[in-house]
Amino acid sequence: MKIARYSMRMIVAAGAVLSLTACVGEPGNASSAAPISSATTSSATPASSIPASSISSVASSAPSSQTPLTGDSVRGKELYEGSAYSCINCHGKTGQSPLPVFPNIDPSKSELLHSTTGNRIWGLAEYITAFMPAPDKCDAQCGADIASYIETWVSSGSSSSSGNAAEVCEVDSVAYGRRQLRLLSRAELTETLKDLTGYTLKPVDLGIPNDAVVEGFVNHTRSFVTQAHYDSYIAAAESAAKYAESKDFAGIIDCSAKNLTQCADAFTANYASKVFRRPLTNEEKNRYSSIITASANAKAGLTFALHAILSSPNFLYRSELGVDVATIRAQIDDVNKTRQQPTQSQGQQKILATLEGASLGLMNATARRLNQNQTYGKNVKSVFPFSNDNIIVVRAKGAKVGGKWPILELKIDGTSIGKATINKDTYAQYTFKVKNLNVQTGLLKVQNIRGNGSAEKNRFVEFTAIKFGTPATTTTTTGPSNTTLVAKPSNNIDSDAYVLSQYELATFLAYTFTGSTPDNALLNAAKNWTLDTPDNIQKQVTRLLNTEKAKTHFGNFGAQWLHADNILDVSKDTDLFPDFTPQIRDAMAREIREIFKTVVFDGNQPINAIFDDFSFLNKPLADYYGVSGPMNNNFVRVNNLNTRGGVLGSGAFMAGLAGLDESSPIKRAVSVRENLLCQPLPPMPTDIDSARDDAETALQDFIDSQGGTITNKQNFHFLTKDAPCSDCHREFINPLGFGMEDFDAAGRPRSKDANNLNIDLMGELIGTESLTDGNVKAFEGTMGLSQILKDSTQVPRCFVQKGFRSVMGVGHKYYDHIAQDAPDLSDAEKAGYACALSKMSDAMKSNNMNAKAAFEALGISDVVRYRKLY
Amino acid sequence: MKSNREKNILDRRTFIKNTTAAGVSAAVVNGSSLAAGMMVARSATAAGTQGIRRVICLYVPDGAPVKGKNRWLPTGNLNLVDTSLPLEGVKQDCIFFKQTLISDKNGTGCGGHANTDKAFGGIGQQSTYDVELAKAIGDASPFPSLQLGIQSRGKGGLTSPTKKNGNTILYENNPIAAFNRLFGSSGSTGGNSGSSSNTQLSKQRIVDIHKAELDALKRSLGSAERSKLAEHLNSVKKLEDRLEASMGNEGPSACSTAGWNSSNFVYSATNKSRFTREAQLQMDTSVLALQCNLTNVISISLGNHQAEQVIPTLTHNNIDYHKCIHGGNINAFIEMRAYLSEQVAYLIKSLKNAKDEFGESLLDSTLVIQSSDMGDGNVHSSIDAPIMLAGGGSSVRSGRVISAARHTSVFDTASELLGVSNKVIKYGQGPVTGVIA
Repeated sequence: MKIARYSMRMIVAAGAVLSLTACVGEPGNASSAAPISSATTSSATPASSIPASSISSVASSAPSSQTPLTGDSVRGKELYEGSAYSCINCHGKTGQSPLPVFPNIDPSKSELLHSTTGNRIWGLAEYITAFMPAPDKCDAQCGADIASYIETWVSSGSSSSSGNAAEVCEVDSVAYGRRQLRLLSRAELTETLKDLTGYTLKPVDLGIPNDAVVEGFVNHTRSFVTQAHYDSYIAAAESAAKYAESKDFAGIIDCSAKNLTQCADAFTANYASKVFRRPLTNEEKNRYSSIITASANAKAGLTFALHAILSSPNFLYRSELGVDVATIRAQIDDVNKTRQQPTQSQGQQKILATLEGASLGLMNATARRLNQNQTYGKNVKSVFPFSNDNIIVVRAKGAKVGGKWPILELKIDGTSIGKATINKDTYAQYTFKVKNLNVQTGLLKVQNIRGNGSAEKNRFVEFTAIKFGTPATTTTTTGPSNTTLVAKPSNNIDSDAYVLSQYELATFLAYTFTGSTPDNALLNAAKNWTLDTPDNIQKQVTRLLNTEKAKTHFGNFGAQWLHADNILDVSKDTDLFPDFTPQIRDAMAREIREIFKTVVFDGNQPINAIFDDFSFLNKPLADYYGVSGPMNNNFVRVNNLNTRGGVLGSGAFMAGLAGLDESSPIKRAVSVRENLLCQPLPPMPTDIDSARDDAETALQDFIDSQGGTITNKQNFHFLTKDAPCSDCHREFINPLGFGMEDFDAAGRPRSKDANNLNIDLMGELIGTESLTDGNVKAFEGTMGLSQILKDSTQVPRCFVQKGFRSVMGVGHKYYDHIAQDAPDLSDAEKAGYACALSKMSDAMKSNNMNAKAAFEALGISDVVRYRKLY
Repeated sequence: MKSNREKNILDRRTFIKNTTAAGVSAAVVNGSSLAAGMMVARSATAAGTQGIRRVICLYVPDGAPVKGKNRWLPTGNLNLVDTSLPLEGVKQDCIFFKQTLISDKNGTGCGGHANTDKAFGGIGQQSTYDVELAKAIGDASPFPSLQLGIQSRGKGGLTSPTKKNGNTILYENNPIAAFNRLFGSSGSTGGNSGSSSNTQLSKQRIVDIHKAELDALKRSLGSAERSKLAEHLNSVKKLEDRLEASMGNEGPSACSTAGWNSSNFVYSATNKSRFTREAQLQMDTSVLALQCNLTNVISISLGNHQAEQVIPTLTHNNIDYHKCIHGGNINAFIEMRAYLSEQVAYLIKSLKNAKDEFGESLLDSTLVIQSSDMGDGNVHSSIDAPIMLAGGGSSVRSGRVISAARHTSVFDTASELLGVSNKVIKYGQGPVTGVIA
């Protein structure tokens, strides 16, 4: 059902009435506003006396003869986007208004009409000055500047863009992430120190500064180490080192049997590379080694080295800097070359026939003696079939006479096949090669020949065996059998891109999927260069997602996404809700995490199952909710809760987004819009034009008129019914929030409030995909809304965007949409992110909309591996 | 006009003198942790010069109930009204500014939620006033600046009044951790003996290693990351400075932290019902830090713009501040805002009663600038913001109500009074007329 209302795409020239009270400032506090040029104001009417709704008296002055001022578009952009006038809030970044009550700005229009000035034609600059955001707020120069800025939209073609140009993903294009250093967050530091040393860090106690939060997620991509940071890291490292010392460095290193140098070497070779999440350079090793070797003993040295290394910048930053493409390609070439290196393996020689003992003609003697010049001959053709490549091995010893050893020569069929000096008086094997000899007769002659020395009869050789066989063969293989070549970045990677090193990638995967430092398996995978292809990376991702750590980590992601930890410190009226104890708060924080975790990890559930009417409760929480089932402090799943359940019907959502004694339909509605549907609402306007002193009286009058009590819904409606508040509240906030009034401030369903007034359950979600699509879905109560969200296609789309932001440290379209100093994203960057998002969405779609699939797809995508300096 | 190098040497000498005089003791460093074990301030001897030399920038969120009937601004005769009444005892030390606009760099009003650094002059600038001031005078102190918060972390980002190079600087909300960082967890006077010089030297090694590592890292970076590492390096060097200055210093104690947190308050980040206690502890720490010459630039954030604190001791003790402001109940807003003025009064009184090394009231050499992000909290306006200046002794014409067109000009006034106008950029239109004696 689409709401019938005036067109969202009003063009000013059509003469429609603008709601000038919206987003409007005070009608001229003369002492504060910038001086107004005389050409645009009527001197007859002092600005401060003009009520907002009556414009005609100002507009009656006709500046048509005014000399146009030169507008500065740079200044104009500042004014347009700045918080003074906040044009951007109502009119959108390039004129595409996020709200239906405001027309889009067509930058090509140079002639404008206004409803209060009949046929009078205004130029853009004059129009702005006269009417925007209220008379006398933005002077002539201001108007000219802003007009000049708006005109730049024409040349950039943004008037025709719907702002969604960045969402088209080109096939085969590569997406690049940001090249950056990321400081470890409080949680990451805590988990990492625990894994590396066993020490449990208490960040709040040690003064570790709060995490930077951007758009709801912890984000340290721009954080730097202030003095408060550094002092606290030093303190934390010292505490961790002392703890490790108290446990004799268990799990770190065992130097009990090592001297200082050995200890230092072991430390820098092994443990230190776990701390740095990569091997150390020699320089780095020396620095830490010398700490240890200069110490009195290993204990002191290790404690000190730990203190230093656990506060090192190489530990504190997750590096996503990468290596430039050319260097990585060269490195991979080297690795591949090594893997292809032929190795020579020596086979064994094979003996196939032996002459010894009787076959050698030895009866009682053990050996045959050959004095000098003596020969032993035998036809061996029948003994051994010679081929092209054979050996003859003679087992012999010799007698040294006159300083010289005997020389043995073998001949076959008169051809010498070699000479050997028998230079031992104990038996040894002497091998002769027979190669390429065409053996005809096969007559072997073994002769003790006279060498260069004197003729000495007693320079004898004695042999006991003659063996025949094949030689040892040399085989060439190409590396170990399980080696594969490392894949190089494909040729379409830009030359100004960087590729994460294997260790940086291991680090990224570890923190993304487990929230802590890479384990040994990951570090080994990096060492062996097996994080090179999406398939190979996927193997590690799958392994990581199966760990307990991953489940806790994603539970915490869910908590950030849903702002669940509001529940831990939100104030509550303890008289009204005496059973809302700290234990209940903790249980609620756990409840919503468990709901989220099970949908992500158990079975292959779609993400929207988080809205089903189930929960995870322990007995205290179940009792609190009036639900039966759980028997003790363990959290168990409870189904078919009917009136509650899912993330919306959870304690953390309902009680967290509530006041002390009453619910907050506004906070709840805004949370649904911004967190679940990715529909950010414009920030609250400044300089609201209302006399609030009367508001209290008016409210009291209203309460009286209703008999002395009103519902929460009536209260909030009354406070937001006037412009400019109503522009957002009337459609986007109130109908949505009021439909959730069936949950009280303590997170329990109700049909009557504390004053025994009936709760009106009816609600409407206006704008189901985007805020301004005009779709309306009516619902009854929180579980009714849950059903709508369960069927929503916007929720999974939004989930993917939030997941991307949490992992990458930047949104797909902007870094921070409110912060004045936030960096802008270039079109190229945004286009790449759009591709990454579509990969995540596609993966979800192919997996029953399961959440894990989206994160897996992101983990293996090129936006992670390839980086640029934007 | 001194060259940078000369300036640095001078600052460094002043720094050494300050810390020496303050008696940063080597023995103390041996105690608990490297940085937290800095038991400081032993000597009573003079370090720096007399005169105004310190600034506390105090952010009080969400303006005040000023629209229509102004319930903050005193009359011309300095008769206080609803939400400024608690300042009665110190009003003669204060200047109340009227018709002041929370403005950006160009003088345009920018009051409202988010981009809270507007309170300290951040809109249109890279860094807020407290950061620029610390850059100019901070090198001479062991801690160039401090940021102390009381439940200063709002939901969502951008809730800090301090910004450096476009990045939010978050405040320390845990008063115990803040104190420990400055004074050590032992917290009491009397140093520890031990192989202090050995420990000193070996701890210097850690700093050396980190410096070398940062240099190596920097070489492979783009400019954004390089400036991150430059900050990191500065932080390491600052610790090194403190270590060097602390070598071999012993002296009689005159700056005592005994009595701080005598009720043994234990902090919990999720227990938001002890705002008063937390505020007083942070303010006590501030006074001590100034007294001990540990720093000359302190920023305090008294809550955050989302204003979710509930004060159990008030009549309206079951509404959070935000609801007080917007809930259509003007009396709730008044009571809560008056409560915040009580905390401000506590700070000013504590400064007044504390003595510096010359035996003078700390308040005479300190400027307290109370600023905000809005004029009227209910309508998020920019005009009539509750801006105030306290302290400065006879150099300031206190005890008056003066016009100041922009709140940013009050920061310029402070720069002038400290004599650093040529070192710190202008935030507003220059010093406000009628403030400087």
